[in-house]
Amino acid sequence: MLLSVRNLTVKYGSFIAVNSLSFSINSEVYCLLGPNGAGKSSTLKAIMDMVPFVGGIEILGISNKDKIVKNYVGYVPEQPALYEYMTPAEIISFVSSLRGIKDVNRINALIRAFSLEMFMNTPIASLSIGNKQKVSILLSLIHEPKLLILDEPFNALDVLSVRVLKELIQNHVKNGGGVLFSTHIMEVAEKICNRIGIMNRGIMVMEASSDNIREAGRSLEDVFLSVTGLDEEIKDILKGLE
Amino acid sequence: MSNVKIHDVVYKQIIYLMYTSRSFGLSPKPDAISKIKRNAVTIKISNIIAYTIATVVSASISIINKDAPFSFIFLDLIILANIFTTGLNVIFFVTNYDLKTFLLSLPLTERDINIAVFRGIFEFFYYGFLASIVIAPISTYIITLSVLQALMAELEIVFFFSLSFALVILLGKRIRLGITSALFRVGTSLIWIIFIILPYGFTFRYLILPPYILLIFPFGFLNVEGLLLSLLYTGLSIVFAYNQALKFLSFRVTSHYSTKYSIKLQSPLITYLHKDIKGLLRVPQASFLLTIPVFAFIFSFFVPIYAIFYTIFMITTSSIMLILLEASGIQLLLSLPSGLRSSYISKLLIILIIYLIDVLIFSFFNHAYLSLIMLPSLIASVELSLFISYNNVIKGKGIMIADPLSLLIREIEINSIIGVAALLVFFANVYYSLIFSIISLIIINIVIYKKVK
Repeated sequence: MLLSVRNLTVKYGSFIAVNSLSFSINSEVYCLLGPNGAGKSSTLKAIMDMVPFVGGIEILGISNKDKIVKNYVGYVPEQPALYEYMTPAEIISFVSSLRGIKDVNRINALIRAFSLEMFMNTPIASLSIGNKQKVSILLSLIHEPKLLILDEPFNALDVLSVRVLKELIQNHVKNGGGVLFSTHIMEVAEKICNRIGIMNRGIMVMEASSDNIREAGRSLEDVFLSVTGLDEEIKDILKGLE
Repeated sequence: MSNVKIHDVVYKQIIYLMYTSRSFGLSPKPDAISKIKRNAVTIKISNIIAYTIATVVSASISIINKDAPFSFIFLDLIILANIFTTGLNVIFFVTNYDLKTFLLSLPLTERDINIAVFRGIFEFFYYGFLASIVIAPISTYIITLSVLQALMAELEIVFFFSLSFALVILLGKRIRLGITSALFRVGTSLIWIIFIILPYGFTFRYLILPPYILLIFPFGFLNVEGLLLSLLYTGLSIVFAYNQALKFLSFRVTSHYSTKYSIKLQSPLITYLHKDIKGLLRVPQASFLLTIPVFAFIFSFFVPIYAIFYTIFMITTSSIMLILLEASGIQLLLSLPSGLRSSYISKLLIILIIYLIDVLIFSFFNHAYLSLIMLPSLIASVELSLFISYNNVIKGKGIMIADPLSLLIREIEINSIIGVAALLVFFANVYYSLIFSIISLIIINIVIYKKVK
């Protein structure tokens, strides 16, 4: 098992962001869906041991508290978290060095794949959000991690990069890796995910394989709106707008 | 909603970015809004208190020397320190998080938005400045019974305030540019020296001012030439500040692109050092650390012992600035296997190198011995400072760089080690001081070894 989450609870003061969440991931693409504030990002941060949490999280059978697991994980945060005073070339050198990368060919291939060559010496502070996101994704991939944790990875990406990322994700799984990502884009989730978990108010309200959803003859969007109780809300809103 | 002042929204947004934002690795907290409101009031009140005290102290000095313009150099220094330290942080956040874009989508003219952004920035200093320009002339007149001195003191405050504000904005533009020449950055941070050393030096060195000082510090000349030149300088400084503010608000980033790049692979510690040194040269708030040896050198000419303790105090106090080098990338740092320890060691090494350069300077003035005795307590204090920041990250609180109250408590905590060590040197003996410093150092390192991984 690549990732196992058991009874995960994340609290910010008295506010419970994630409540007793359990799920696991093998070599597959697992998509976390949920409305804003559902607890998706908090779950991903807890897996990365970036926020205090209660519960058990294991990556490749090792507790996520052990820093060795960071060698096996690539993480893209919700908003690009990069050193703004560095250039992409410098930050890629920095992360590659810390991860003990010896061969730069793969890095150069990724730079070309995301069309970042011409921005490599531009200060990150001056890059567009899309280019910052590309750098952030690239940094999560350079060490060929077993598990990819991507928080809204398609945010602000151009069409070409969306395609590249989708291909990378699928190849990653073909090679035995696992991907856990959160997104708001139902079409993407529908196309590339093997399993889907829907969260609402910190709780997993539904977990199903994409095949099961397809077989039920319903679109993912309909299922999502139904299990989160948003379908009734939408009807009321639309009525109000009429 | 009609009662909402746009500049107040901008002011609170800057406070949010500075103290509460997730960009410093903070977890979202339900009480964030009330915290921002509290900070907004605290900043204004502490600003008024600090400026009022500095103004009254400055005016009181003229009871002794009967020379208000020179007495107010103390206030000038406070103004400089306040505008540069707070100002650089404010400008950093204003420039890196485009505050104008959202406002431009509202039915407001660009002029309205520019005024709002400018006032939002100015709000950090406005109340203190107001307190000073009201109290200074009144207190000067009461003490000296001279209208001219009161007027010169007033002009001097306006001049220093406008000039400091203009320079901070000028520097701020460079921050927005991202990376410019390292030389420029260090050079501009050395502006401190010109303003701090020159007037102070003259205060101590000359009782009768040589005529050429008129061009440097006309406020000290209580005659027609001094008054005219002071009026001219003050006017020019206001125009300079106004022009810089206009340029800052209309500034747009232009980037140059090139497809040539190289990926350099190094050992983890070297790569951290490389990154942090780059940060020191590029982040103006942190680059201030590089100017400490220059200060140490200049002060050593006048007061060598003071130079040592000044250096130590500046290093322990500004070590917090090194944390800014991790600010926006803290989540990336936490996702790396090297963890926080390499980052921590790199910063400690940088501080150590800076202090050892200072020790070398002090050795030219025959004071290397005292500065070396203080080395263990200095390291202990800096380690405590770094530990507090890193521990906040570990606990998920993020990097709390500038919450006014926690900053004050932190300063007391950090400087308590060096303070006790210094007291032991002067009032007990060197060995007691060394024993205390080494024990503190060992305890702190045991805690750090366990916590910072």
